[in-house]
Amino acid sequence: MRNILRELVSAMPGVIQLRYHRRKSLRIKVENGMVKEVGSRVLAGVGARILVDGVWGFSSTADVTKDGIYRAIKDAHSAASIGKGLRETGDLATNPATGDFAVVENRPLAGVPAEEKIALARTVEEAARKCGDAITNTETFYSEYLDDKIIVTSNGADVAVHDPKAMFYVTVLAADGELLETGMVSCGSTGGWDELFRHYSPEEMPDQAAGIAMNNLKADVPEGGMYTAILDPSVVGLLSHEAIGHTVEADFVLAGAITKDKIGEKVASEKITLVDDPLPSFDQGGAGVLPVDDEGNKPCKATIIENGILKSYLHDAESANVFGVANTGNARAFTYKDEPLIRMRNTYIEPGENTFDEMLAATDDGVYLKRAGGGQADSNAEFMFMVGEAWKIEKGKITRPLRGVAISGQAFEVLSSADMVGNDVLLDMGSGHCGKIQPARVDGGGPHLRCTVKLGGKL
Amino acid sequence: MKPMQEYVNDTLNAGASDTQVKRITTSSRYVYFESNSLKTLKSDHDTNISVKAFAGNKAAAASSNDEATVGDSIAEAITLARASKEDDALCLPEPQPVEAVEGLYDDYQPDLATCLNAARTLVETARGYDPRVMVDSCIVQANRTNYELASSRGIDVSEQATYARFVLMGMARDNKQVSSFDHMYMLDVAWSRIREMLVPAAEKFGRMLIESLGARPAPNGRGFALFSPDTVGEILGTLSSLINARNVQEQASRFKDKIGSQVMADIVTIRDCPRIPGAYTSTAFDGEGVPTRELPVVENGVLATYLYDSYSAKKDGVHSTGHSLGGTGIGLHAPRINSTESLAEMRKQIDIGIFVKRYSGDMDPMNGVVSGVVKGGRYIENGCDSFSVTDTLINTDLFDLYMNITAVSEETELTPWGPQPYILVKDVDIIGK
Repeated sequence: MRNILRELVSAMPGVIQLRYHRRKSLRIKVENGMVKEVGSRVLAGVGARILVDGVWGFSSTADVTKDGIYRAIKDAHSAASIGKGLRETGDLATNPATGDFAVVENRPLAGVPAEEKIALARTVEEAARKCGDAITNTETFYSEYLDDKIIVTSNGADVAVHDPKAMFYVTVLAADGELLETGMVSCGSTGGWDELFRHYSPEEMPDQAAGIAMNNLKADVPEGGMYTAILDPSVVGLLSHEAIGHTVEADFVLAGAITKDKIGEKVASEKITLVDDPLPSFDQGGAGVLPVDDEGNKPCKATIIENGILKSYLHDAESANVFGVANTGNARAFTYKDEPLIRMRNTYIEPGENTFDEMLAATDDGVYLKRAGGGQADSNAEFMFMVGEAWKIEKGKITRPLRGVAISGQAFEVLSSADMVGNDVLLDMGSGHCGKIQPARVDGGGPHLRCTVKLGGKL
Repeated sequence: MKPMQEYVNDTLNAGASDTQVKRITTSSRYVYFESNSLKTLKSDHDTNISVKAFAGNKAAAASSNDEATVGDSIAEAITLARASKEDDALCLPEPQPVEAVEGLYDDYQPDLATCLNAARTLVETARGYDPRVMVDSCIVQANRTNYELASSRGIDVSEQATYARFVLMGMARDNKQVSSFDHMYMLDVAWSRIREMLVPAAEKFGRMLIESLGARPAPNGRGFALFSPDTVGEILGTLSSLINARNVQEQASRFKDKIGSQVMADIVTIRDCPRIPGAYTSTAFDGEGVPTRELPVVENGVLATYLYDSYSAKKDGVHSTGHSLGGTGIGLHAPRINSTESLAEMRKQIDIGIFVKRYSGDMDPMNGVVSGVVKGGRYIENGCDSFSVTDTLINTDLFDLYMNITAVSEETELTPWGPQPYILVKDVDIIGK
């Protein structure tokens, strides 16, 4: 395959990117003692991307013969030609990668038999059912992508990449009369079986999920308003990703996002340094690990905010040239059928100096927010997240659970309110996908962080 | 391409006791504008073949996008099925007569140049409405799909469909002031209807964005929430989950044992209408090849049915309602809510309230929590729009929301669930300042 791509790229004039991407995926779902879903999928093909007169054309094919790929190139060329004169893409800021790339993979996923994965999902689900009389529904879900790519471009990239990613969820429903409450614990990774369970033990996940659900049964909905909050690493990750990260994606900046023309400005507390990192040194199992980006460029760590000052946007080859900066290597495509877009990798806040106990002791009246749920951000950096677990803090102590907690605010105002930054750091947002036209596996995290946020709730 | 029945036979010959095979073939034309200008033109054709294999009372599925490797998928599905666990409710439906729905296929298929012209019209009209309008992205897409399903039980059905869509996403920017993100989209079987909507939709998009500048938090209080058709779609999503028979059977729905009970305000009547000719939400058969039919869901606030696939139907000893979405998914196809009055009449009822254009937050059908941020919204006083809101949350209980619906508009707008009305809900907490 690599030789075919090399041959075709060398035979074509101008800018061309060919990306072979084979994904073998597996999904297993167990619910209330029954295996509800076992399914695998192979999705393989070549995406051909070609720049003609300043316009990108793209076409893909599952026919990975030389003739099939050539037809895709011609289709991409024809498509691009239709847009002649409508766009002026300048030079591309490339940093082409060459060679073979693999991620850290202890006990490779491909070597773990499907029977063992099904057995794990069944065993953990069975354990969850035994967590208490109030438990009415239990579910485990395992999903993996085994990705192999070959990228050859006219800019000199020539790489093979092996990139396995997995996730595992335990979800528990507890009932009290008509009231149903959910507890969910999940993990996600790049790498092997050991990377997936590097932070969470599958034996402990049922108790954790059941504990959340049962605590929520006896919890109150909070009063809406402004709160001093301690955020756990997963919530910090979601804040970093959703509320800040999306607003600094260069395509969004060019469209007019609030971060436009703010490089060099103070946007957060000086305690905040926020990065997007393709390969964090403290955790090489992050779900957003990216050995090579999907334009074939070497990705690098981007320091978005340094000591409160906005320093960088996130770039692909085209936007880096527009801004006249180095390419951060954030171009990512979900499958061979997708064209690369600017996406995040592992987005986190660097650790500070405070211990969690110090933050707690310093909080007279506040909330402790754990386990990021769904969230959305906006062009003006206004955000909203749900949290899976929330606790009231009173006089320096965690006292009682809260349920149904949504937090919102303007991200830069929230980061400006950050007055204590933990000395711990964890990537803990690796399950699920980020959605921006296409899905992408990402991760996020950081230390515990104390700041001020608005909570939704009753009047 | 190989006839579907041959794949069924191949799977049985490989050792499966029963099987269902699906093939979806799609050709697509796609234009993508990014950051106010053209980014990519794309032309694609792909096929996906999925094999569900049974090994006695066990089942699993495997799929591939390459017809040449279907043999591997068959072997994989059988291997995975044997590794799974026995479940007596696993089954395939028996064949039933399937009557086609008219008008799901448009003979006219736009070429890429036509799609590009449409995208240019959208972007130029939106930007031309006001220079403060910023288009983050614009997609114009035209798809043609052939859907085939065959099983060892004798089902052999197919449906050809087209859809064309556009999506405009963006914000308004006035110096350093940036509005909330908003979007405008249109989806239809027929290109001609899409073409007619380009200019009015882009102008409306521009107007919405400009009106959302200068937003401020709403005052705290309890009042009405006027939900837009988009947000009504989200509310219908919670209903779809609550009446999913699998959720009911697995103790994951609060509507267990609620058939015949009042679950919504008595003004609410909802029917699922998957057979409207020419509607993009229509389909002749569900994800298992079971024919679709119009189905009363809620009548005068009283729950009329659950939604079944063949698995959940077997468990309850009833027939499938034709609501399989493929795999283990079950859901409404095309819910329609009876209207009660005009939007103008509804607004007159609002002394204090908020228009929820978009909703960013939780609507949890388990614990009933509705808590999230109002996007693109307007504060309403004495029936009149007062100002655009930002940084404002609403809070209520989902089951109270169902019971507190006071009006459903005659006017509808397109959503992924088909045309939906505005609904008015009383006693919602508004948290702004």
